[in-house]
Parts: sequence; C-alpha cells; structure tokens
Amino acid sequence: MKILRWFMDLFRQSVKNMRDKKGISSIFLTLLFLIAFMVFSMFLIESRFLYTIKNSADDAVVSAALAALKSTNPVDIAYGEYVLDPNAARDTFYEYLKKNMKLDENMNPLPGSVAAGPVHVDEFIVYNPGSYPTFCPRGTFIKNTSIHVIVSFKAKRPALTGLFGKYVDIVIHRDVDNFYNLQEE
Amino acid sequence: MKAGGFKNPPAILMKNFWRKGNAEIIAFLLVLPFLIIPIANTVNMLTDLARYDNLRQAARQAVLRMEIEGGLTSDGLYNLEAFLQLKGIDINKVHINYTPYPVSYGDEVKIKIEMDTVMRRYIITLGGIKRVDENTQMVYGPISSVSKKYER
Repeated sequence: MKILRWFMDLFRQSVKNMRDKKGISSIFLTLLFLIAFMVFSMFLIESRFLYTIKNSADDAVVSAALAALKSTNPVDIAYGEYVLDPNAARDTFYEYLKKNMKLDENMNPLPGSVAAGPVHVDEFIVYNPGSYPTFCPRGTFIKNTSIHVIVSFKAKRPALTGLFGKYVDIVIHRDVDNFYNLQEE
Repeated sequence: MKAGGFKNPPAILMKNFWRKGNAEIIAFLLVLPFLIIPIANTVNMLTDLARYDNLRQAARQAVLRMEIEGGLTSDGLYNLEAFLQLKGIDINKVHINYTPYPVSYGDEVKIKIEMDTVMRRYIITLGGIKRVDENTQMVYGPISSVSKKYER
C-alpha cells in the first residue's frame, strides 16, 4: 500500500509538472523524433529484407539457368562451342526454377517461397553459335553459348505497407553461360 | 521534509529536481526506454538478416562449386565451413544437407543449410524493459542445379 501511495504521489507530481509545462517540450520532441526514427528503422530493416529476398531469387534463377545449360552433349562443351536445344533448355530451366523458388506447376508460390504471387519468366533466350557475338535485350555483351533470362514476381512488403504499398515488384535479369562466375549484381 | 503536499521521498525528489531546473532531463529519462528499444531491436533484426545472408552466400558458393565439380567434395565442405566460421557462425549449430561428390554429368546436385539460432528482441512491460529470446532455425534452400562434371 505504501508503494502504491508513493507511486500515486509521483504520478500527481508528474501531472503537476506537465501542467506547469516543465519538461513537456522534451517529451514532445522525443516522441516526434521517435516516430521519425521508427519509420527510418523499419525502412532500414525492410530494405535489407527485400534485398535478401532478391538475392535468394537471384540464386534460384542462376542455379536454374546453369542447370538448363546441361541440355547439350558434354563432349561439345569440352571443345568450346556447343549448341543448346532451346526447348530442352527451357524445360530444364522451368523445372529447376520451380524447385528452387518453391513453385507449383502453374508457377504459383508454395509455402516457404519468397514470391507472394505468380512468378513470370518474361524473357528466355538461348544464344547458340551464330547468334553471338551480340548484346542481350538489356545490353549485356554475349560472347558464348548463353541463356538470357528475365524473371519477375511480387514480394510481400513486411512493413511500411501504408507508405509504399503491400507488394514490391522484383525483377531478376541474368545472362548465364558455362563460364559464369560468382558475382552479385 | 514536506514537498508540495507530498510526504514520500520519490515525490520530494522529483519536485526538488524540477525546482533545480532538471525537468528536461527527467522528461528525457522517462522517454529514454522508448528510444532505446527501437534501436536495440533494429540492431538485432539487422544482425539476424545479416546472419541469414551469410548462410545464403555460403550456399550460393557451394552450389556453383558443386555444379562444376559434380557434388560437394570434402575440400568444398571444408571451404564452406571455413566461410561460415569466418563470418562468426558456430559450426556446431549448422546442419548442411548436400549431394556428395561424385555426381555424373546432368544429374541433380542440391544443398540446404540450416542453423539453430536465437532471435533476441526487447519489449516494454510494466516491470520495465524485458529481453525475449526465441530459439528458432534459419533455413536456406534447398537450392539445386545439375552437375557438369564430365569424365570420359
């Protein structure tokens, strides 16, 4: 009971000081700063989260495109120039993209997928000998038998949905050949 | 020792502080927990995301290597664990499921990395700031490609 009385006295003193406007500016300014800071914190976390989603999808696309490059005779690969069967490459690409991004047969996300909606393969071009050297539609120089692919999907925004919308569009563009090196875009 | 009708020490102390012009400091101290908690939680969340990204990078390097070499060799596994240790991850808490070497040309190689971890958050309760530790598992993968290892 004594502690409760102390607490109530403390509370009344605080109310009195508030009424006298002592320290109220500090509280007000700090709360204002707090709102701005929390928005900034959420923005930081969300940016990092979406960047991780993009990188995960990028890994899935690169692995699927590398898998699609198998659609040829291995002996030809050893001799440099080789020809890919575009249809077989496409089928393999889709098969591994579905596995890596956890998608169903209709390219819709299964539980655990980074996508929040259907995944679209916007462009899929196989460059065989004779069609290179050239530039892909996004301007990358093609000098080997390669697969050019653009995949797009929507990812769910974890916070700040009121400011920027519930979903964010993610587009992955990769040109993959058998000399593909580890690199972040 | 009577201060403005109040007889207990905290209220007297508070009144004296205000009299000495420390109102701003007291007010700031009152809202300080609300400032500290978002900072601490932001740092913790970014740390969790950074740890997950380390797993992702390790898996990415491994899958590219597995694709070239035809499965994960003992050397590849050693490098993978060394990479994780370099990033400050306790290897005893990491479980790696992978396709071991050798895998023939055109066959599937895959890798999945799981890590037991503790997600730490701070919340405000009536008793003050409370730390909440949640044991969870970070999972990256499985991510798969095909072996390009060719032997005549």
